[in-house]
Amino acid sequence: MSSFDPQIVQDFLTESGELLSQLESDLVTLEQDPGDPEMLNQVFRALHTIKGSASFLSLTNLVKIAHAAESALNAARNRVVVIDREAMDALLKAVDLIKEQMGQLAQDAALSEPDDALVAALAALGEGKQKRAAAKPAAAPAAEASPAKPAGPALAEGDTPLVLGEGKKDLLEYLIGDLDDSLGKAREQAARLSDPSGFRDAASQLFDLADAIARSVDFFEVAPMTRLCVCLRNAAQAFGDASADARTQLAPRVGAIVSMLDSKTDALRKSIICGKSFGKLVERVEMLISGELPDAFLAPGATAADALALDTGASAESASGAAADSTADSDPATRDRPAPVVIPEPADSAPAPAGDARADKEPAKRAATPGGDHTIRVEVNRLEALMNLVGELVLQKNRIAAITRQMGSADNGTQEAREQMLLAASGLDRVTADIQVAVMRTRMQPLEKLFSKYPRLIRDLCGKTGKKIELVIEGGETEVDKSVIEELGDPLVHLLRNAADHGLELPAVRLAAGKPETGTITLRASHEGSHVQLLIIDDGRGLNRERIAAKAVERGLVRAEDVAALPDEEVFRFIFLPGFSTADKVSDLSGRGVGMDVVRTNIEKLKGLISLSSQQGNGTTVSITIPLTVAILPAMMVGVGDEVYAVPLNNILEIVKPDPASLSSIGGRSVMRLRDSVLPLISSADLFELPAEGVQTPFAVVLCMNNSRVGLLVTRLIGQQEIVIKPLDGVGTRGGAAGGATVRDDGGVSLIIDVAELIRMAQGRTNA
Amino acid sequence: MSHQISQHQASSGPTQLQLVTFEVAGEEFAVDILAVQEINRMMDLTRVPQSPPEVEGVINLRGKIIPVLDLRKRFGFPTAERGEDTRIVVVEVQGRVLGFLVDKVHEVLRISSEIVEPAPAMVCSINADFIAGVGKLNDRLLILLDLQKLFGSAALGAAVAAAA
Repeated sequence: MSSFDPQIVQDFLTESGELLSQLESDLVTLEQDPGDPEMLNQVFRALHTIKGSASFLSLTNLVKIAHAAESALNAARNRVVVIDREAMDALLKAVDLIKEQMGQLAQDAALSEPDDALVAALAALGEGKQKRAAAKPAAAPAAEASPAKPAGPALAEGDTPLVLGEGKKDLLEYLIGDLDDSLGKAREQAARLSDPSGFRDAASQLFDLADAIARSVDFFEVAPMTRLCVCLRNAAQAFGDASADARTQLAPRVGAIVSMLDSKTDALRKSIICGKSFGKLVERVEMLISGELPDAFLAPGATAADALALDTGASAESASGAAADSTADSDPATRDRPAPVVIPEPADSAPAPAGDARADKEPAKRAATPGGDHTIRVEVNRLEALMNLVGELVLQKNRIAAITRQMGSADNGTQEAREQMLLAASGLDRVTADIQVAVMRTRMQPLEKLFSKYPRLIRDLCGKTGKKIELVIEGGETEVDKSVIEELGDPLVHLLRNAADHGLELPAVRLAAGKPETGTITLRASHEGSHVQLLIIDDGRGLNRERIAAKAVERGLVRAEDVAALPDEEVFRFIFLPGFSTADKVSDLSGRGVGMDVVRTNIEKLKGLISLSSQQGNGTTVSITIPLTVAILPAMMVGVGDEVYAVPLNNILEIVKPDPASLSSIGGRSVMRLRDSVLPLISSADLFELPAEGVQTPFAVVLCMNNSRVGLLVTRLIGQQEIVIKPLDGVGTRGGAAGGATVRDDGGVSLIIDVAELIRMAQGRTNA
Repeated sequence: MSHQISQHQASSGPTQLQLVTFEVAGEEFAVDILAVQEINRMMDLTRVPQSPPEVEGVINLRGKIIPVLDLRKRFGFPTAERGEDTRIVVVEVQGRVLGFLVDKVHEVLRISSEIVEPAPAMVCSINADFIAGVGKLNDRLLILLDLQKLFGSAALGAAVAAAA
């Protein structure tokens, strides 16, 4: 693996990784409607692309499994087999294996050998054998192809033997199969180029095909063939916009290129590099592409053979002969599949539905992107750097704003200068805000990226639990910051598992309770202002209040006489505590009492909120609210003694100036009466290790997180500011209340108060 | 930087050490210049509650928040008033950037590795673990600090572990 440029390998991993995760969710969708031709095509194409790239990198083991899966899908696409559960299991296993192999590739390890039984099962499907054949079908195509490469074939003049690396030899037949397949389709499309109504569509499909051919040809490292492919691709691209005259000249020549490629492929099959030169063909096509007319004209209605004759000097008969020849023996329908006795329609029409389905989609896509790609891949590091710079910009902007405010109040400077400065500062403010949003958006990704993994998860859970579960996903297009996506993955898996394992009942129980046999889990995402709300709703048995309450009493979290008075919400909240589980038995899915604690911690890390509501017998809803981004947040700056701290604004309920009479202490801890409730207070002395005397704290900031409230006593209120969170690395705080630091508008550093930690401290004292 | 920097050129010896020397509580210390990112004048430190005692606070180093440690406390010397000459030496240790306070920065010095000897058992009042070697230079005694041991993850990791 190391023989390749790490960059190329990395590109392969990124691209194929994306394709693979899409593929996985598509497969699960496909299972719902195994005959959906569009979905079958999509899945097939993704797998084909992965295989193509892998073969370029000589990843033999990966290609083997991908090829087997691909042939199974091809059979399904041609309606020879139906993807049933068994077939789907095999396909998903193949996807798992490819994933594993890609992981190994990333670590530069050897790729694991595909399981023979799996390959055989897939290959059997590919041959149209629906029931698992016990024989060794995988060997069949190989045996069929081997006579094609006899030792020492007779070389024609100008031909050279094909020399391939060890790793590549195994792949030869796959690649030639691919080439034949693509070239066959290319020939069909090339013929349509002279059709006045269909030429645009044909050209666009030809472009795709040329791409596929180029990828296969790349593998053989035969420069002239690559040149032909590139020429074909460029011609296909230019064709749609070419003048009528140029089209008449170009169409037969495109056909000629395809024929040329055909005969060269034919030679490759015999392990020969065909030395046939293509004379002026490429040159003239290139002239046509660039808008010039060639120096040699073809009569209207000329065929590919005429073009070959004119441009290469080859005799028309031999060229068309070669083309016809390869049509006969290279069509994958006759090579890879058994005789089409079992196929209801003729083999030749098989690729047509695929082509039609593409035709619907591709031109639209191409029209939307006239000047090439509209997206580029950017390394995350660069975005991160950009984000940091924007953070700096926000801080500098804050400084400018602070200075402007000071100028406004000072007497120096003329009135006009001050106004100018204010204007400039507010302009800067606006632009900075826009840049911030724009940069943040580059880091945004749809939740779909995460959600697409879950249908598979639920499918597997169905198998393990014996339940029938339908997963409904809504709002996958909702975008959140990349870091949020990363942190959200584990909690969502936990919650979905919980819903499937604990929430939903077995089919029989559901029927007995008068509910539909299939349980539904809904995963819904939506934007709520600057937050994203995620709901995980199941229609299962709901949380058992009595059991949770009993467990809480047993663990001494609440007194038995108090528990009845607690609202449901607070009782349910106990399940977020570490080690709290009411499951009777620990399964390998859940029940260890770790999950919900981890979920809560992760969500709090994202400055998010989580809450639960449940109705016994009717299901549970978990609601998660998280900010769109975690890098920049609005905060209230407060002074404590001489120091300045930042408090996240989202967590501030209100700020009050308590009447000394409302302050008291219960059991040694200070509390405050706030209207008709009692609010625990945290004093600056405890939290900030400041001397208790001498620090005036006239204000109480009422903080709230997940329905727990606490009051923080402070000296001064300074004002709102957007702060950029910076990590406090290497300082080694002992779990203090500082959740990070930020740079103030005066350039100094302020610590950010970690509200979750503060509340934990307040509650810790409650229990003590 | 207002302090004087003089270059002592010593041409002999196969390996040359280039050191930054500074003073803490009357003793002269040195660290490898390659570890030093910059030397700053004293600036406002933001105290971090509930941090290890030797962490004096954090500063904003061009947008990066870095901890600043007091070498006196790390060495167990009595604390002293910060004066006009107090500097923050910013170093990178095992990929982590941090600053430490010194009473005064002396100079950048080139010495031959030949005159550096392993630390004798009782050379000075600080923990011998922190000392990479001792350099004798005319009538001066330079204590070469081992930054890895002084601030490396093992040293600070213990503090962090105690915190967690």
